[in-house]
Amino acid sequence: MFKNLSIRIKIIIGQVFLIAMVSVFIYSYYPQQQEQLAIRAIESKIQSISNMFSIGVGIGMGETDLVAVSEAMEWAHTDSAVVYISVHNDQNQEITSLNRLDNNTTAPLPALNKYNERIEIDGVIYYKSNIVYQNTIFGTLVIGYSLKQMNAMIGSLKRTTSYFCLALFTIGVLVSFAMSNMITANILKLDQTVRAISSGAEQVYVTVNSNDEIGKLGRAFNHMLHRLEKSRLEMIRYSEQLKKQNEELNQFSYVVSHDLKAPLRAIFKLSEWIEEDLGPAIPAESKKNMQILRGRVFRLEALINGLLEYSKVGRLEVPVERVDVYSMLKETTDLLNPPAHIKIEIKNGMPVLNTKKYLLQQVFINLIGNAIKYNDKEEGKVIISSHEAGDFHQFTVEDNGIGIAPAYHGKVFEMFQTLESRDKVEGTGMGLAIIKKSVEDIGGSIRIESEENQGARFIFTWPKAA
Amino acid sequence: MTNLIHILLVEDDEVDIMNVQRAFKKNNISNPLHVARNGVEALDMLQGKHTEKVIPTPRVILLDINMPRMGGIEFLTELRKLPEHKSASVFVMTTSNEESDKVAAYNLNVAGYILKPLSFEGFTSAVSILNHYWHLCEMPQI
Repeated sequence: MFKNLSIRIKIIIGQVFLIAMVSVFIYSYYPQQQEQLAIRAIESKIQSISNMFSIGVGIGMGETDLVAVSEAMEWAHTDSAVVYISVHNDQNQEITSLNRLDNNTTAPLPALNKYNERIEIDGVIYYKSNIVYQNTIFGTLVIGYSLKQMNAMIGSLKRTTSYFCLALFTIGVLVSFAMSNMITANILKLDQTVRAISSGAEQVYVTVNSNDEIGKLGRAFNHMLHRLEKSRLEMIRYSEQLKKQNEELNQFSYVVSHDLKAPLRAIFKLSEWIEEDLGPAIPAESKKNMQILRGRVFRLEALINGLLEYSKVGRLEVPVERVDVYSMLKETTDLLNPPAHIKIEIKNGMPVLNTKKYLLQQVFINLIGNAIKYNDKEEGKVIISSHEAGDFHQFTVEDNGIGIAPAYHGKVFEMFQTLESRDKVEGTGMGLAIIKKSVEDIGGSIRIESEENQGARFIFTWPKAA
Repeated sequence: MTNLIHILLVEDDEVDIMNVQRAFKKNNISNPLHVARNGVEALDMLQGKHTEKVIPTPRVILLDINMPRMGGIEFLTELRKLPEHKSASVFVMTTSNEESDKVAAYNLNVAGYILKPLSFEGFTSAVSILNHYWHLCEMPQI
């Protein structure tokens, strides 16, 4: 619960608690101490009155010296808090007395059965003592001392102390608010700036100028922001550069597709026309050469197309759509139109996912196409399966074709790599390079498991979410 | 339809021009064929600027996309602004397989967008189909 409070509230709570403790301590300790001091003073007063009488009576040596007694009485009289005095001689005859108790009530003397002990009755302290002079007891003395004055004094002291404590507490709370504001104002400023920045504001800096830790933090933060801004501008510059380069590449691929192909077509056609114009007069050797020439033109065009396809991967903006992989594979295999001796099996459990359909389909077209193309068995088999692997789907395209020796497993994914001479099997060597680029561009990976003449298994992962 | 319609071929590549001419010959197409080497030249020929005007107005235009000085799309844009020629049937014949070119061409109301096949035979049969098409269609008499 305490954790969720702001620093400001925490500081205030701490300080208020401390001030409250001090106030309560002062309020409870100071008047009590004063009261004890007052009682001690009263006791010494009583003691001194008692001494006066002892001296006054004692001087008479058994005979009561009335002058001394009346002097002692007079002296005792001056203190208005002395409300009761009763002096008895050793024959228990009252020599003199004073009664200033309210309503002339008599002192509750029977209660005073002990000597030299303070007893408080109805706000009056009674004290009974022997009158002793040079170890001889001459009589007894009872003194009543009213606590009214002391209580009034203590009461007013308590009041003053409580006012003082209240004032102390109030000022303390105000000071703690002011202090916490002072401390947290900079933190709040820092907090607001950070928030503004994290919500996307630009060119915002911390404006804390203090030289304390927070000020230093603010400066460090500004420094960080400067660097961030710098790298942001750099990034914008780079991305603009990239955009430009991408446009140039687009232009380049356009030029390649048109300008490189146009002369190829011309060569192709001219060779056809030469052959046509010569008619039956053409030697068989030349006719064959013309055919080879056109074959090479076809191959060069296929290579250009492969290169274009490769450069398109990643640049092409492909929409993300819901793909039912099973029906997509059905469609793809129909499209590839496999020869009758090759059976394509799509295993159950194909996922439905949101992804760039075009790319996934291209990968399958190339893999299944290869599996069909490089199959030398009488009963060819292509098996496509899938299972989940964390955030990815793992697809496997397996065939029983000619396979690839492990020595070439790294090479097959490179551009323009073919295992057979192009004269034997017409291929551009771009298919697997395009697949690898497509798979890796979307965040997956591809590998091959194969032995020569043992078929091949291509395994690739494809992220569940595009 | 005794009067054969005139055809304008806008093409910069010499071999491609020969290609069309040979395909015409092979298909026994005897429509008069006028050749312009780029968009500017074609517009001049149609309007009789700096050169003799082609009469009668060609009803069919075979158009390449990539040409120097003025490309096919630019030429089409200009052509559709000319009251006399905006109704001409334009067939784009190109090697450009770019989606943007196709979209631009059809937005300018081309009658067809044909990718040039690599082999001459393929092209010849394509031209034959075109010939049948414009023989089938009734063109307005000017």
